[in-house]
Amino acid sequence: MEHAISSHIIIPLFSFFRHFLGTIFKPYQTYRELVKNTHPEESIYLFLLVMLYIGLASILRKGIDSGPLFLTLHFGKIFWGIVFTFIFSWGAIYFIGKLFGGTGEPKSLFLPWAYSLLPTLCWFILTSFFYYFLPPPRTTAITGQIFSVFYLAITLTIFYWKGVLYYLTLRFGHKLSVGRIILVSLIIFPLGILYSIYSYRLGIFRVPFI
Amino acid sequence: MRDDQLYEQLRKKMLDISAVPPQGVGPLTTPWKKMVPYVKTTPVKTLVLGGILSSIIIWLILGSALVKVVTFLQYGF
Repeated sequence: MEHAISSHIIIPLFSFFRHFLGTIFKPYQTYRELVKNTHPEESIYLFLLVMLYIGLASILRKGIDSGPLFLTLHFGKIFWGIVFTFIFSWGAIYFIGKLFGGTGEPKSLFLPWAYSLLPTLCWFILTSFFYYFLPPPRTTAITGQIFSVFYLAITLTIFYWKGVLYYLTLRFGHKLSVGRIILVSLIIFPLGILYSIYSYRLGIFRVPFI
Repeated sequence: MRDDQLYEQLRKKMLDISAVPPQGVGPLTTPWKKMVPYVKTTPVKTLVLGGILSSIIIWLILGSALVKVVTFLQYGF
């Protein structure tokens, strides 16, 4: 019983914290480990964080006065949207990577792609924070422009972080070279844009949680 | 015994290094190999600096229209 708790709960939790920091400070080494998929259950903590964020964001966006039923429906819509988006993008990376000579299996791509949700989560948390404390719209006054440059700098930093993790997923998960990663991206990125437009039209996401 | 541990560590390191083939980007291989160590060793500084420079360049290009882009992004969550 104690061995089961430590091996399935505590060790993956420590592993999650270590890999969380690793994706920031040592992404290459961390992704070499993640590809080995030693503790896939550590992804549960990642998805718990995502669920916690969705709950807080639902309250922030819709207001706590909108009622528990409405908030639950909104939470459910976003949650299943994120689950479907993850599975869709994971599958796309696997199949399109295979088309270009990738040798990875779905399980070797699972943890690397799951951890690439961390920049996405950070951006959404940051945007929610600024939505609450400095709600849009921004003005063209000098203070509005300074904040816009500051916000865009953080957004682009997180975006580049996401780009690095996406690159490492394909590099270590599928063992692809840069040239082939670019070819895979030429197919995946337009698919992602179409998916984003589709999910916006359905009212699930404004910016997709990819 | 100590030599065996060292050998195992070296072997593990060699297996890690050879897990993926060496990177080649055609004529861009040299600048690529100069850029990658910065991302490997100091990713935070490199990405933050890249973000700041990119946002300043975009502001210089778009001017006050940047405000509309940021407003759109702020409604994005």
